[in-house]
Amino acid sequence: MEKWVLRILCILTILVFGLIFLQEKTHFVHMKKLDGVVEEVAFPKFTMKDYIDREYQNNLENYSKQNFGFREWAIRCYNQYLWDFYDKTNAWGVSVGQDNWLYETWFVDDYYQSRMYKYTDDPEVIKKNFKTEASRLFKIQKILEEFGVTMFVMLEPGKDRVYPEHLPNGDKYTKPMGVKAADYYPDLFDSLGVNYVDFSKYFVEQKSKVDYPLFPQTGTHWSNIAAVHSADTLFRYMEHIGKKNIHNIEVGPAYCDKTHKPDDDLEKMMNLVREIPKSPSMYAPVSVDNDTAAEKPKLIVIGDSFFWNFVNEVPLDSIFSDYQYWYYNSTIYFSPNYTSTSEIDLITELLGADYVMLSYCTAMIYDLGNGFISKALVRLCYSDSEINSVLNGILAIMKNDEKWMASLSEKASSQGRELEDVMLGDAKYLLYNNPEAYFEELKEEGVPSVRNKDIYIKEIKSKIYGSPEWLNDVKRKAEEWSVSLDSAVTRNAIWYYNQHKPE
Amino acid sequence: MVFSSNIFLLYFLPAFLVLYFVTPNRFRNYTLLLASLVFYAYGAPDFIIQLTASTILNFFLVKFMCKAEKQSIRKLFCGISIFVSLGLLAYYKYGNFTMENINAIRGMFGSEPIEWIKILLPIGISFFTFQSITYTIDTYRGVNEPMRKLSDYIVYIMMFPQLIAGPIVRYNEIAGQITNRTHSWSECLQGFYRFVIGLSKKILVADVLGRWVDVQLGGDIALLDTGTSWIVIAAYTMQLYFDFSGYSDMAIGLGRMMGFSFPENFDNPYNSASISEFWRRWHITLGAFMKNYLYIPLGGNRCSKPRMYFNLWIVFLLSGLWHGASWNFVIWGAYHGFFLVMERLFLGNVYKRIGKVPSVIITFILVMVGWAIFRIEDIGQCWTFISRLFSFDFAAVSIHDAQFVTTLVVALAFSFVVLFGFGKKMQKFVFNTEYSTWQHIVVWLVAMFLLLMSIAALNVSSFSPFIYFRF
Repeated sequence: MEKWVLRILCILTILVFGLIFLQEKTHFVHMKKLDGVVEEVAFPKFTMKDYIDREYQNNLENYSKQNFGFREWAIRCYNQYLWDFYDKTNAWGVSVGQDNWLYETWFVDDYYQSRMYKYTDDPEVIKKNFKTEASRLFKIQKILEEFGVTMFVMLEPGKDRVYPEHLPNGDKYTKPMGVKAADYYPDLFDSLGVNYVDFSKYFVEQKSKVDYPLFPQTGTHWSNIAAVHSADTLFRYMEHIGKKNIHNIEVGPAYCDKTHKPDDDLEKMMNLVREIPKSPSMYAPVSVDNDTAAEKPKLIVIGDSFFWNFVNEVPLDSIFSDYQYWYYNSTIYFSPNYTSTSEIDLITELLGADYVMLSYCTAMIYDLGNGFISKALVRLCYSDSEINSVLNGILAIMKNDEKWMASLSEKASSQGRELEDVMLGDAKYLLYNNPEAYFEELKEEGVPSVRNKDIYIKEIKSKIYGSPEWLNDVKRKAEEWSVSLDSAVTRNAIWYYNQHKPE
Repeated sequence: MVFSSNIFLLYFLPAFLVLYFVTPNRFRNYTLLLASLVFYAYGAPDFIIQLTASTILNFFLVKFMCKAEKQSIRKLFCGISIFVSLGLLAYYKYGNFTMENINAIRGMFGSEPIEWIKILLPIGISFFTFQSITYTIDTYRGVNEPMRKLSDYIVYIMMFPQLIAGPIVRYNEIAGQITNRTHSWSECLQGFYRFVIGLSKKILVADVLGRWVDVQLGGDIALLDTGTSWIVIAAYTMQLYFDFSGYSDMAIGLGRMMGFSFPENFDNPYNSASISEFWRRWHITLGAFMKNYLYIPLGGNRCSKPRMYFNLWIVFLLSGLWHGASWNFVIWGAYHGFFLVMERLFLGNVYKRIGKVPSVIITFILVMVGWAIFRIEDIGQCWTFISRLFSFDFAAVSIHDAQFVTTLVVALAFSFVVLFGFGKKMQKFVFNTEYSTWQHIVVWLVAMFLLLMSIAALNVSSFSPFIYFRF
């Protein structure tokens, strides 16, 4: 045997490791980044405590997993192997259907077995919860109407319902179908009078009538072209329920093109070497009409990711004076002032809008509003002082309960938070999770008889400041009472509210 | 640190190999010693001092034992040395188990439980304890001279390739190699191939099977039908074998790269035609240890039959307990002990009459049922699972994970292929052949492919991105 060959093979082995290391440090080979979102791990800082607890070692391993040389190639090649040999993907939440169709797993789950099971096994309990939520929604809708704000729900379609023929096998689902939110809510909305537009039903009806795909083969949301047609319908619906003349869009002739973002978002997340074979997608140009008499209202959208297609394809800036996207009622997009719903004054934002849209797809509507509904209802009906009084009551009960306090302390230490902060968070959760338990008036069937008087007083105050005649009258009173102008305005506004408060 | 981790594969191992081979031959044990200390200190930082201290203590105890002239003094030092080794094992491995049982008994009599701080199990303690014992006893028996240099002794006990999961290398098997071994490019490459085989067995087979098994056993066991239950236990049987033997392959491969010849730990155990044979092929070094250092001192075969059966039972009960501090391991040991006794009583004759293949099948089924006891710690759950195996409640089995199915079929095929002639030839080629230059090139390419696949698989399982952040 020739020794030099063996020597070369040994050296080559070490060189392979050396190249991996060199790539990690210098990135001398340019590589296409991996798609999808992962929580990035920072290079761990060495501390003796972390080292002894193995935290440092775990973090270092996780850091290496995200940063080793040629990682992109390694992951793409292995993913391609899984796909080619086993029709399998490692991407989180992606299910592989028949004929190379991809679905987001939520939709497959909901098709075969209602996602209600993540909350309860009892259909009656979930129906009761849906009824409570729809009733709260109706109450908010009615109260906001008093301020000229139109609220409605847009039910987005699910790919599972429109293209069930490509779904993966559902053998693993063993429970009864259960109650599906997307089927149950429309009936409730009809019976209560909640405004809504049901694109789920509409898409199923349109599937055989339109000559373009309503969903892309390898994407999770409605296809771009279906989304722009839906936007057109949506704006007409908004005109109708808001009794406003707003701009409409004009959808140009459809054309074929290579599937691109976001119509292939699920495929992108699979991070393959080669594209999945599929028919080209259809797209259409969108423009806004020249209606000079049209208003440009302000829109707040609270919802899931389907609205991104509107953001990307429809010139929303030309239709709305301002629009904010409260993504899952958490992150705020397109607001110059805020990035999170935790930063805003909810009432100010809501009353400043013309339209408030809850935009949820069939698989996500189980979490309709993501906590927005009960919070908005409480804030519209009760002043800050009334809410704080209830919260203080809950905090007092907590403090008198040793076991509860012990579990709160444990939670605080495990999450590295202040105990007070955890207590307040839990008190708010209890309040907003079941506000009817704390506020009698919210148990009433119809629209509540109470209102947050702060809202009205604020509005009356602005009316006083806006009316020179009224303001002069109050100025005179301020001199008479020897108080500041603002204090006199507030007093007058409270008096006026008490005289004219809504029944 | 485990071998199937990025830190080991991508940083520690290459750095060590470079450092080891640039070090002059006579200093290589120091490089190995340093690397082993780093390896252990990284994985078990709170135990490295105890481990090193106990190793040093044992070295001197044995040294004093050998210097002593009186037999009683020698015996005393030997006893102290074994006591220290077993004491550490008893404290760290069985402390929690003992306290849990004491508290359970106290609870039965209405007493308050005794409070204690849970003891963390240091990695590898079971293996280095046994190696320390073999050193003490082999030296005491005069099989080998004691080590001259402390550093060499620490290398023997703490050498990183076999520190975590064996094989248990008896002192007399390796004594000469520690002080005097040869290195060659060919051996280094053969060691690399063996290491890659082990890594692939672990990552590409065992982990794939394990993920599926965990999902199945993580659900409601009572809902499993008979067919699925047998697939679960067959998959676990393969997972365990490919995982453990993979680790042994990696250890043997690493040793071979450094010029060591570690003993084989597995010899196609699922081809055994009896439980007795299974234990000669499964975790061979543990079996050898138990035989030489427990069974024979207890009297072995040279005693009455009842006593021999009792000895067998004791050995297997303790073997079970060695695998883990939990009652299911004790029951698993007793289960194997029971069949060993039965084979000596009558089952062995039955096997002879029915022939090899039926015996292999029966033994494989018995081993699989044993693994159910091994895997499911909760006795009630374990019993439920075993009753599902024999409930004959067959439903249409549908497994949609093609990767799992393929991997299981491949694992089964590789486990039984050696029953056939071509399988034996294949095994001989992979593990024993001195390759020609061209064969080396081909095998190196295959090994490199498997290594990169394994690294990719290791990292893909942790890369599971979201489309968008939801919350």
